[in-house]
Amino acid sequence: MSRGVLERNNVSVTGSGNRALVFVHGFGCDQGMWRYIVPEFEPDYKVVLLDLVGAGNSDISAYDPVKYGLLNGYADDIIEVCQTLNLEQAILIGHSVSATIVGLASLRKPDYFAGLVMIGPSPRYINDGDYIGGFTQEEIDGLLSMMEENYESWSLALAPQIMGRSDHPAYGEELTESFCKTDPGIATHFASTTFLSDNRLDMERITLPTLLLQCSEDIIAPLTVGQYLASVISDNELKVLEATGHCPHLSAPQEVTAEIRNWLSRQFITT
Amino acid sequence: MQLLGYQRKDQLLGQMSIKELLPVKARAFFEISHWPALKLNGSVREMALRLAHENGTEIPVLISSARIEESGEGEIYYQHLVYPIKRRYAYEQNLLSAKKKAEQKLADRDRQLSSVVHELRSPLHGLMNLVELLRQDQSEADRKKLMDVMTSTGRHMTHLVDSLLDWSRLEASGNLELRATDFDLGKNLNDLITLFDIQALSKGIKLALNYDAALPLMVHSDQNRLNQLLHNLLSNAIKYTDSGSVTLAAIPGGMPQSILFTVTDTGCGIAPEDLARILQPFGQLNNQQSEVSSSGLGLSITQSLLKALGSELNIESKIGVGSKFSFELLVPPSARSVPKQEKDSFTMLAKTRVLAADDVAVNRLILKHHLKKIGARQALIVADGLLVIEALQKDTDFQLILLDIEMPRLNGFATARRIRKEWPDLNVPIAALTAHANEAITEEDKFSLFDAVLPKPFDANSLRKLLMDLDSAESLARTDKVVAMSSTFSMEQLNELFDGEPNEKADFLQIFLTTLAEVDDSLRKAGETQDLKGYSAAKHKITSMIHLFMAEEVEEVLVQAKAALADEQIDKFNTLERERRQLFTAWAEYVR
Repeated sequence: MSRGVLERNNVSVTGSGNRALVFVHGFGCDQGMWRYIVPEFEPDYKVVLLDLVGAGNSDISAYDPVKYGLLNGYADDIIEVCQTLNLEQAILIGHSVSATIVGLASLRKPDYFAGLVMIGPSPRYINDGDYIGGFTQEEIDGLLSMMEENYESWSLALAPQIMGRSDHPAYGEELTESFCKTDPGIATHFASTTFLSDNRLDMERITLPTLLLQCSEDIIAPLTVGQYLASVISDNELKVLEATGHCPHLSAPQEVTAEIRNWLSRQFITT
Repeated sequence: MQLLGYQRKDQLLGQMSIKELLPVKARAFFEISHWPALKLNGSVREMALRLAHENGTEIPVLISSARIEESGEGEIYYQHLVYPIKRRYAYEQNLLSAKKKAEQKLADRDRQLSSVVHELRSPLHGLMNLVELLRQDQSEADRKKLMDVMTSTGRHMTHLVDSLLDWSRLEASGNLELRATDFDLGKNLNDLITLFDIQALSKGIKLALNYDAALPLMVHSDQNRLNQLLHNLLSNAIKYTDSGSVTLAAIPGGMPQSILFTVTDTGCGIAPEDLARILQPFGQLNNQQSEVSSSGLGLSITQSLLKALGSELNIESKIGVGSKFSFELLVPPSARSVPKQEKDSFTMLAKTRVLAADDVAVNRLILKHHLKKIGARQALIVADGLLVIEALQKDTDFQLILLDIEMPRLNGFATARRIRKEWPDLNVPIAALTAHANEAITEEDKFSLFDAVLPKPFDANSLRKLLMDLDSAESLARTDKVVAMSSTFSMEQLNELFDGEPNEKADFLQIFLTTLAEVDDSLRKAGETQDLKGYSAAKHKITSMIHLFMAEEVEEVLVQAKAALADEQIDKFNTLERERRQLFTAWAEYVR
C-alpha cells in the first residue's frame, strides 16, 4: 500500500534537511506550480511535492467520487503520504482550496504536523450574511457551468488555424511539457466540491501555528476572507502580499519565498 | 471593440488587462486555470470564457493566449486571441440540453418499461394458469366461468396496451388531432356516469352528475377525447373511494365558451408530497390495497392530453377527506340546436357493402364473422391489395374499405394510395387494420391516407363503432353541404335592426353586396400574393358583417385560412380559400 500511496499521488521528494515541507497545489493545477519557489527551499528542507488524485500524473483510477466528494478525502491522502514517507512534524503548505485541505489534515492529526502555510485560502467562496466570500451563489453556479464547458465541451480543437500565426511561433508549437493537466470528469466534480464547500467551522478549530499569505487583489480569495481567517484561527500570522492575483507563487515567487522563510525561521529553529 | 460595444478606441486599447474584460465568473476561471497554465506552459489554447459587453451582457468567446518574449529587451508580454463563438455556443448549448433531455428520457423510459413489463406479467401468468385449468376436466359451467375470467383478463391487458400506446403517442408528438363533432353534452355525461353505475353500486358509493343549466346542451368538441379525460378521472375517483360519493360536475368556466369539469370524491385523498408523483407515469399510490389495480398511466395521460389541448389538470386533495380533480376546456356550443336522431346501427349497416383485405386466412374468417354479426349487407374479403384493386375495377359500390397494412404484393398503404389516385371521386372511407398501432405515431403521414385506424385485435363492437363513426362523420359532412345554403347565414338580427324600414334594409343589402365583392377581391389578391397583412386587413373589413349575419362558419374558415397562410401551409390555405369563396358566393346568393 505504501508504494501505492506514493504512486497514487505522484509524490516526489527532493532537498535535504530534517524538516519536511509538503506542498499541496490548488484546484486546476498540479505540483508543477511550485517550480519557481521549490529551489529556494531545497538546500534547507526536505521538499515533498504531490498531485492530488485527478490532477497532474496522479493515478486517475484511484478516483472515488464518494471519498473525494468531501475535501476530507484529499486531507486523508496527504496524511497517508506523510505517514508513508515517515515524516514527523512536517509543515503543510497549501494553495487555494488546498489551504483548506491542509487545515483539515491538521485537524485529523493535530500533533503529527508542526505548522501550516495557507496561500490564498478561502473556507467558503460564497457570501453568507456578514461573511464576504467574494462570490454570490449565482456567480459560483456560473463559474461551475463554465468549468464544465471547458472540461467537457467539444468547443476545444475548434480552430487551430487561428493559432497558426507564423510571426509568433509560440502559438504553433506543440507543447512538449504540460502543466496543470487535469482529468475533465474529475475536475468538474472537484470544482463543485471546492466551490460549494463551507469549512468555516473547521478553520476555527485549527490549533497549529499558521501563516496566512493573502494577495492584494485576489478575486478568488479577497482580503475580507484573509481577515476572517486571521480572526478565527488561534495561532496565526496574516501577511498581505504586494503580489496581485490568485497565484503569488507564480507571479511573485521571491516575495512568497521570503515570507515563508521568515515565518519558518521565526516559528521553528531551522536545522 | 465593436463586439464589446465600446464607442471609442481609447476606452479599450492599451488601457486594460484582459482580466478587466471578463465578468466575475470568467475572471475567476481565468485566475484559477487560464493564467497559471499560461504562466507555466507559455501558451493556452481555447479556453471557453465570456467577455463582458459594455451593456452588461456576456459574449461567449474562446481565448487562446501565448507569452511573447521580445528579443533583446527581455520584455515579456502576453498576447490573447479572442474568438467569438456566440452562435456556436448557442448551438452547443442546445445540443447539450437536448442530450441531457434525451438521457433523462431514456432513463425514464427504462424505468417505465420495467413497470409495464411487470404490469403485463401478472395477468399473463394468470392467463397461462387459466388455460391449464381449462385443459383439465371441467364442467361446462366451470369452463364458461374460466373463459369469462380469461376474457376480462385479456380486456384488462388490452386496455393497458391501449393506454400505453395513447400515452406514448402523446409523449412523442405532444399534439393530437382533434375530431370535433356536434354532440349532446348533457346526454354524453349522463351516459358516461352510467358506465360506472355498477361499480359504484357494488362499492356502495353515490354517483352524481351536476350539469349546470346555463350550459348549452349541444356542443361542438372532440367527444372521444373529452370522454377519455373524464373516464380516467371517474375511474380513479371510484377506484380510490370506499364510501361516500363521486360527483361529476360541469359548470361554465372562466373564459367565454369554456366549461369547468370537476370530479370530486370522498376517497382516501392524496398527501401533498405524493401529488407530483401521481402525475408521473406509473406513479400510482403504492399504499393501496392489492385489489386496486391500475395501469398507472391514467393521470399521466390525462395530464398530457390536457396539455395538448392547452389546458391543465388541477388537483385539490386532503388525506382522509377526498380529492377534487378539475380542468377547464373550450367547448363551444354547437350551431345545431336540435339533437340529431339516434341511428339504429342495424338499419344503417343493412345497406352497407364492405370490401376488405387481409392476407391471413384466419383473419379473413374473423372479419367475415364480425361483419356478419354487426349486420353488414355484404362483405367481399380478399387476400391482398391487388385483389382489392381488381374488385374495385369491377364494382365500386362499397360503403367501406378495410385494409390490412402488411400484405404481400400490394400492402395497405400502397393500396390506399392507388385507390385514392385511380378513383379520386370515390367517396368511400378507407380504414387501416393494424397490429402495429404505434406505426401510426411514426408514420402519421402514411396513415393520413386512411379515414380511420382500427388496431388489431378488434372485436365486433369496435368494428361497429368504427362504422358508426365513419358513417356519422360522412353524413354530417354531407348535410353540412346541403344545409350551408339555408342556415349558415341568418337575417334575424338584420330584420331586428331594420324593423319596419324595408327600404333602408334593401339599401343596406345593396351596399353589403358591393362590400362583399370588394372584400372577396381583396382576399383573393392577398391570397394569391400570400400577403398575410392584406389578408388580415380584408378579413377585418367583413368582421362586423359576419356577426350581423351570424355567419360563424365564414368566420371559422377565415380564421383557419389566415392561420394556414401565416404558417405558410399553402395547400391547406388554398383548400380553405376555395371553401371561403364558395361560402361568399352562397352568402351573396342568400342575400339576393
